[in-house]
Amino acid sequence: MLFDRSQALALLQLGDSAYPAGGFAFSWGIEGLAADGMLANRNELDRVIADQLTRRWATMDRILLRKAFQAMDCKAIAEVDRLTEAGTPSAEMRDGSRRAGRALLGVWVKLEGPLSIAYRDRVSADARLGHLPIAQAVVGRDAGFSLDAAELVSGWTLVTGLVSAAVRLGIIGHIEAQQSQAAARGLLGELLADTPGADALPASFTPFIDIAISRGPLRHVRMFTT
Amino acid sequence: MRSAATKHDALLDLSFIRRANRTVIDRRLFAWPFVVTRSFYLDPERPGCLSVIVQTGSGAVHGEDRLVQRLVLNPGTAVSLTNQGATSVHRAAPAAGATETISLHVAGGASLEYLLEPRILFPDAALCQSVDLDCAKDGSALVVDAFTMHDPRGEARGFRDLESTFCLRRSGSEPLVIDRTRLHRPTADIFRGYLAFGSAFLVLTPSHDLADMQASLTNALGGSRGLYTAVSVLPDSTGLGVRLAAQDLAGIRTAFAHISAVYRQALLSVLSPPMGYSHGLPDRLSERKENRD
Repeated sequence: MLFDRSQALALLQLGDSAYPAGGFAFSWGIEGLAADGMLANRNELDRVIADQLTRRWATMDRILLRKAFQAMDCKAIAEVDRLTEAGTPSAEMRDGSRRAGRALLGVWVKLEGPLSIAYRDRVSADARLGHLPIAQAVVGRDAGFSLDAAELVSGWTLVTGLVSAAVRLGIIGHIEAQQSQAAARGLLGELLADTPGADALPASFTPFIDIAISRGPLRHVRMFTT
Repeated sequence: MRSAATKHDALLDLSFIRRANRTVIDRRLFAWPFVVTRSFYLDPERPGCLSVIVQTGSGAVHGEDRLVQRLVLNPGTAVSLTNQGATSVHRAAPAAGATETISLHVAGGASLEYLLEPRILFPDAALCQSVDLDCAKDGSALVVDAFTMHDPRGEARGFRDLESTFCLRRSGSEPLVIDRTRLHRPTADIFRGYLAFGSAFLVLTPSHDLADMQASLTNALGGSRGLYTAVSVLPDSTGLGVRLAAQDLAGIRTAFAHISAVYRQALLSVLSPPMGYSHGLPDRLSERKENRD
């Protein structure tokens, strides 16, 4: 495979943890699992990352991203967005996904991405819209990504978000973070090598993560939105 | 006879109407493996609510079963439906699998409790089930779904495939909730030592106070040992969803009992007096209906 420097640099830009879309506000269940005594070390973190990637991201978020990336127009993208809303029974997960997606979209509106600008108009008019996988597809199209590249950024930013949250919560140190990222990189590569069918329906099985996030409002003190 | 019971290809096809402040069956069609015998009025607080126990002659789901159910609740009816016990899902041949398709229609002012007992997935079992609920905006429903795993040899061999989908529409709208679980040859470690998993969906009317019910459910489930659970508001504020992981099947059953109690209490708080509080004789009409399988 030829090395596309331009695309690689764009991937580094959008996959950078310094990308100003508020990713630091989301732990995607890491904080809740730790608070509930289900996550205390690197091995358990790696298991949670594998759960997120294998049984949620690859089977749900990725499917939705692909549909939105291939959608003909903003109306069709919005249909996928509403499907994402319906497919997320937890209010806390829906809220988190929309907040993260809208923040990402907002940055690209400021960067004058044409599809981002057009789609943000729809998002502004419908409280159900703006979910993260959909915004990742829209931004990926504005960035000139291939579908493969958009998927890669989506999966990788999930990994870095989970690991970053674990570091900030004091569950692991910086070296362990790199070890976790290396393990997750291998798993993500395997998942990306397998292309979902065009008729794949979004599905997931992450009950512990779902519950940990949904219990967020019950906690007196928390750092993260999810 | 294995042929479909009705023109809708349903092996179980029940319809309910309200008559003299009570719910009665006006269509009762079933074919193997389903059996429906007498129905009852068991809830003293809702004397018009009909309790139906669906039995399966086979006692289990087998490898290539194609099971179809349809329930229609007409306006103002109240039904609580369950089955005789947890259902074993036995192994399926490679590339084969059992399917169960359940279609539930709840009209305005009607209330359904669809309380199927959990599935017990045996080694190499493969099951694809879907529950499609179309509930009017002023109707309500409680739908529960759960599974556990069992290896008769005690070798921790796992099931092969499970896909379970719950889809909610309100009066034919586009889907408001789609909860789809899919697992393929799961390894034991992903279950973290928990043995039973479930979900409950409480579809409510605008007159219900979701925040109040969420607090009641959270409180009711909070004291259960070995249960990891959360209650959350469903999309479009159409009701509440409960996700459950339990260390055994008893934990799931206890949780479902708590959820049913909160649901019934919520119904009573908004029910009109004739359906909720009148008393009457046991239903005779349903017993006279013939089975046409």
